[in-house]
Amino acid sequence: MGKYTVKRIINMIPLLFVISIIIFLFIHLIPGDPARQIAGPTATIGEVDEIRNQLGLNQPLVPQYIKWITGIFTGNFGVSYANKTTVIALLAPRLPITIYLTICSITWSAIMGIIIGVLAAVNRGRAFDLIGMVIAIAGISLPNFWLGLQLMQIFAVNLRILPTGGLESWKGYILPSIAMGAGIMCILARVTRSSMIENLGKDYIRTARAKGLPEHRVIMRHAFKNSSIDVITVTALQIGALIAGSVVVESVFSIPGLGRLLVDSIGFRDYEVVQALILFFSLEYMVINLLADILYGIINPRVRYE
Amino acid sequence: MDLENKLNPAVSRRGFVGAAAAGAAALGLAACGNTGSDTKGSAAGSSSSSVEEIVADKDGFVVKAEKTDGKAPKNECVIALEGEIQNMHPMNWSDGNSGNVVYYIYDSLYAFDEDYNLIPKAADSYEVSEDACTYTFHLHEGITFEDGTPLDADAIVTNYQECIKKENGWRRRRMFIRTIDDNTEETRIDNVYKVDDDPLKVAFHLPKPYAPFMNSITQFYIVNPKVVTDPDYDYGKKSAGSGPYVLEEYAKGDHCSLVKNDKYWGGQKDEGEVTIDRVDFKIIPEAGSRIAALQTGEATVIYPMPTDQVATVRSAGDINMVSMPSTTMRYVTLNTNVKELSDVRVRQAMNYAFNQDEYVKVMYAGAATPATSVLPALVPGYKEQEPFAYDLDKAKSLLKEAGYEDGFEVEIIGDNSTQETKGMTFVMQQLKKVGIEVKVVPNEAATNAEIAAEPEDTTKIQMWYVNWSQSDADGFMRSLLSTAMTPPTGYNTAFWKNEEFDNELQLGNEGKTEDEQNQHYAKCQDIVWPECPWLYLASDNTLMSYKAYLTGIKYVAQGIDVTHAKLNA
Amino acid sequence: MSDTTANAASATREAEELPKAQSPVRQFVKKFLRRKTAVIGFLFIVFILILAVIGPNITPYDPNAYDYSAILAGPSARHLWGTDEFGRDVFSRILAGTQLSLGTALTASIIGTAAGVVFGLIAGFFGGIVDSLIMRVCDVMFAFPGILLAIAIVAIIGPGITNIMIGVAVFTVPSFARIIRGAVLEVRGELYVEVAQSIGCSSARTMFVHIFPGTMQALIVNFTMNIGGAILSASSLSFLGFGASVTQAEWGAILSQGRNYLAIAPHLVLFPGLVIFLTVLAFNLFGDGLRDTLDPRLN
Repeated sequence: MGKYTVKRIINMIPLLFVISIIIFLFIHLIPGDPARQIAGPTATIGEVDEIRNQLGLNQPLVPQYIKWITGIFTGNFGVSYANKTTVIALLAPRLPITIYLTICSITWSAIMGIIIGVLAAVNRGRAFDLIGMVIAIAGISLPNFWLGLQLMQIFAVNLRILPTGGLESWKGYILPSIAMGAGIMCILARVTRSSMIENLGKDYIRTARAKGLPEHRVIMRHAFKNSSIDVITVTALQIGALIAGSVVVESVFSIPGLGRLLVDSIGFRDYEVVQALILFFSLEYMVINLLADILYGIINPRVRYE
Repeated sequence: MDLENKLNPAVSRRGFVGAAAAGAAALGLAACGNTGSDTKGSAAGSSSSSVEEIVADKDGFVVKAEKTDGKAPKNECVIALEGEIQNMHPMNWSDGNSGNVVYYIYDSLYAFDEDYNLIPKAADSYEVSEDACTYTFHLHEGITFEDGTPLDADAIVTNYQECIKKENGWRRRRMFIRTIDDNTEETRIDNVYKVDDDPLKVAFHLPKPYAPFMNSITQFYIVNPKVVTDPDYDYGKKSAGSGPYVLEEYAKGDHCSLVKNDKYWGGQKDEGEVTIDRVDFKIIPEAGSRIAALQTGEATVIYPMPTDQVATVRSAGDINMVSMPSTTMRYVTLNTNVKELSDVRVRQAMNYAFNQDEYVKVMYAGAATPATSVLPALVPGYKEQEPFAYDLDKAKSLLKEAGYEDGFEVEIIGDNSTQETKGMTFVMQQLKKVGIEVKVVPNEAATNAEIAAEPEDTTKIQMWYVNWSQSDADGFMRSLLSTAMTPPTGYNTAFWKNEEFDNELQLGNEGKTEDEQNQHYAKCQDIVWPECPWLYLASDNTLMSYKAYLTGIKYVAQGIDVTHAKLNA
Repeated sequence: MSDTTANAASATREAEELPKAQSPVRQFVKKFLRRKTAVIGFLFIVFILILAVIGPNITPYDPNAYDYSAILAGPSARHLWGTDEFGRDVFSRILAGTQLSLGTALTASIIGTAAGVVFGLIAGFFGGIVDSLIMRVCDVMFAFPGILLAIAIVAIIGPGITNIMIGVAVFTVPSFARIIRGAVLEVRGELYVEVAQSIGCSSARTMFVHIFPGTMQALIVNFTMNIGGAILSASSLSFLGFGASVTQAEWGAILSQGRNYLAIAPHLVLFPGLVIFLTVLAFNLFGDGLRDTLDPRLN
């Protein structure tokens, strides 16, 4: 498995190259001109041209790309057009916030989602199952701005026990984590339930029960262990999405996260910020999926790695 | 594209008292419809709007707090803003919010107060020569920057030289440069010098009179001369001004904290004391969250205040809400090269068919004034015009005369933000009444900027839902309506060209006295108004709410001013 | 579950219980009808599909007719579900919007699922380079933000919710591919698959006949949930300014608009939210019932 991991990591490099080309072309070819954004509405065409020259945007795309990609190898991810700071300096303060928020959201939502899912599967067809399902569907169809603003109204405005926004203290993380995790909890509950039902119907479960194993042991040791592959797949997808940020939750709780940065940067045509962000998100997805694949192998040794 | 916040010119808004007259006028005009404050659909069979109309009293207050004895948690003022604070550069800031923060840190020679009067800042007085070409400023004695460097005549000269340097490419440069065409420009000032070798006397010499000069001066912030000469200085790390506050921390996308400047020279004597220890500008993009933060006291001031939450503020009891006219004008450019729109009767018909009063009500809950000229009433030089009073019959007969009895199809572009899309939809609904089918195309702001920069022969603009904010009549009309400013040079996206208008505008620009200037600007407005290069919409008010424990807050040309406000602690 | 022996066994049992042999379709219908919640879900889907077809013709008001004197009015006898920011009747707009919302959501989910299944099966079954390649392409697509895609689609083929939703559908492929691949990895280790291969089944046959049914659980659950997700993604696109055209009524767009008036007109979020909730719930109930019916062990 060590060899497999190393191979996967090496494989990421050419892939990142491909991504870098795709994203570079994409952002440069959509309409919109960063020079015009920088120059402002009262600028003359000469001034806009001047800025375009300074930024090297008048050059053909190939040299521009080469300049950018070679810069990355020297640790230079470029400069934000919007405010002249380096991309690294722009991302550095946001990254820990986003990661911390992701950990908080995914932890509670995975635990709750799995518990609800397992209980629903065990109580299949009974009231708990139906209620669990209704809650899960509600959670998926509930817009998170609504949940966020309701939570804020209750806990910040009415009860005054949590802040309305900002992340100055740990308290600031509570409401955004709930708003971000609610949907994920519901998805995980559904997936867990469905996978558990499938596994609980299998022969080895009958065998385990026939052996006289206690029910909780049958459920957790046997059925859940096998369901965990599905749960891991979906969780990995959700973690990836969380790190890429939620513009809505970030806006509601005034969090300077990566989602808002991405949307703002695309709006400004802040090329180098967008490129760096997407490259980062790709890498992050790959790493998380690699971890998920490794976990599959640990849980179910029958999964073969090639 | 929302040009409002990207524009540099002094955004002038009268103070709360000044707002009274204009606010009342707005009411008179907008007094139609039956918008009550009933929040629930009441009796069966009838339904009423749940939007409370915004009505300001004579002092500009929409809601006046009843509980005024509240205490501030700390001697700290948190100003919650909707939009980003792009950068801290005193000569290259781009958006209105950045301009607001910079105002706390740097001194200008003169500034505008809330009533749009010039008040001395770093200069005690100034005089203008007979020919209106030399402005001599007498600097206040003893002003120093944070590191002890004096703010003297030499500092002003250095600042000016850096400001107009082409290599720096700073946005404020445009205040002193006139663009003739794409490759030619001239400076509006040919010399800035120390007078009589007196470190407190500095003069600006102009080759010919230039009406908006003092307007530019209010935005010419003076930076420590040791710093301003360094093109790579990072103003987001450490400030270099002489104003009442210094930068503590600037976290882009989140907040910008200022602390009281220990070495502040004290300001002009009638300004009063700087008492608030800390001013924190915080970005809270979501309207609902801004209101919540104000309720809990996490924010002291919120701007802008959402139009639909007057009831929330009222029931809180300890919040004041104010509504003031602004220098923002909302309009739709009508490309006069489009076949149907080239006929002035069609353009007039569209204005007759458009109900401005309903626009004000639907879009701004009453907190706006229907356009009565191309300029907002607040801009000096504004002259009221005969409105195109809503008249469907007249609109229809004009269209018939023009041969468009059955209407026609036309496309409108605008930003894809909620508010702009809503505005375009409203335009569509209005023009449909006379058979004009408007196709609404919301685009990203960056895309619109590119579309708007296309020259006359390739432009795709038919109608553009947009707005402009500027405090001087000259710049306002020049950028949007003069022949020289058709794209890509400027924003005359109606491609409306009128020689007489251009001449009057130039005469106004070179007028020696304000009266003379304004006469020409009035003439300009008389010429353009009946020509209808735009669909005239409205000028919306600035809405702001703040905790009652804050007193002495002002809304000046540069934005929210709490430099001399007090917190009840 | 698609163990052939088990199938045969259950079929035999059924045959013994029922003297007259029934067609598989009738057996299926009979089994399905036993699941009440699933039937309710199914009926609701039928109901909403009918509304999608006739909805635009039976609205009490013209969905685009405005009334500036009744802006954001709450529910009343005149406007059952209140009015929006132009005084348009929300009930009429939701009714008229059923076609567009459901149509785009179904299209997006079907495209996403079909392509995702194929890629997931191939990746999971063959492993190796094929697997790596497909999965890495998925990684790329995951990292690609929807808003950027929306801008590009608008630039290339023009605006419109249908164009954008189809683009979004393409980007749901990787999520299905991954889920199916995960399920395949699990099933592939099962004895019956090894048996199938050892008796000389072709790859395609092994994949579609033996492995694919093993992934049905994951598939049905994710497909039904994805419909809700697709409707809501219309809402977030609308939030970012790429929603339906203003003349088109669409659930997600109505919901997203409502966000601006949450404080004074909660009905603008409540009703579209409720409709989306019920629709997604119906698809899930139906999906669960369908899966249970297809599962021979649960009879």
